[in-house]
Amino acid sequence: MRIILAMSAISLSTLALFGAELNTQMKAYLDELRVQAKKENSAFVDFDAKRGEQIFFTKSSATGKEMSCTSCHKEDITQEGFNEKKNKKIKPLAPSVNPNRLTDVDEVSKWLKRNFNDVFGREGSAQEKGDVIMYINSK
Amino acid sequence: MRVLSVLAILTTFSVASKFEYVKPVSNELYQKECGSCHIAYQLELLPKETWLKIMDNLKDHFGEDATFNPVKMQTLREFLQNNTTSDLKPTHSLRITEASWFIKEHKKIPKHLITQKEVKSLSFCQTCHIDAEKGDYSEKGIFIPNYGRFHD
Repeated sequence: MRIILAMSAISLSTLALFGAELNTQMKAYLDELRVQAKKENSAFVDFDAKRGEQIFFTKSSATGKEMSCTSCHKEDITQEGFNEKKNKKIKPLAPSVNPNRLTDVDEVSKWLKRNFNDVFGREGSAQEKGDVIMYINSK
Repeated sequence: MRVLSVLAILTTFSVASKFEYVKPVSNELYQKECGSCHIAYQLELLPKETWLKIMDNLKDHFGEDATFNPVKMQTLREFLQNNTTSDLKPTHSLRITEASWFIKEHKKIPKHLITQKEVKSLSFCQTCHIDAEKGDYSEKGIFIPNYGRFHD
């Protein structure tokens, strides 16, 4: 019994630190991003959810209107989001609440590209994308 | 003269009824890629030429980059090629809301009902056309926020 409790405690804390395990295609995508990140910055070690959180909350006026990822996805990504411009509800980003998130590489890469552009007026770097994925996966 | 008036009335009715009930889109790829930001506008609302122009210009899709996986884009283009008709007059812009039939259908709506924050734009069909996603744009399915049912 104690062993079961101990193992549950360990897996829950691992989950809290690193998030649920990503599927094979997502892992391969992150590996590609790591290679790219290293090319872009030789000091790159690995992705970081804390850095990802900072990016997620950063406000930018690059596209003429001040906004951040939280503008649509909200500060608590376990909650539903809302896109004012498109008048549309957005299902929660947090995989703990919405298990479809971070499972389809086409979807993930598409939305990262589009939404980095929406907020920062540029495609995110490989490191930024990986950091943000790590952050989302931790919720 | 009377024949012309009858013909004119009949044409108006036929234009109206052409868009009252359109086929809902069942194609999963279309639904997913073209229905993730806005309602998956049904194929009968635009002519083939316009659909293909939209597909070929996704990099600047009404001001946004709407491109996605190139293989899927090609599949979707073929789907549109094969499931749309050229029966409609090509729209001079790419917008459904700027087609002459659309303008005619929405002409009588007081402007403030469209610009109010509960509606915002004619592009959000489903806001007033409750069953828009099912392809039902009939009058009985209209419910304008802060107004109610609308009759021509």
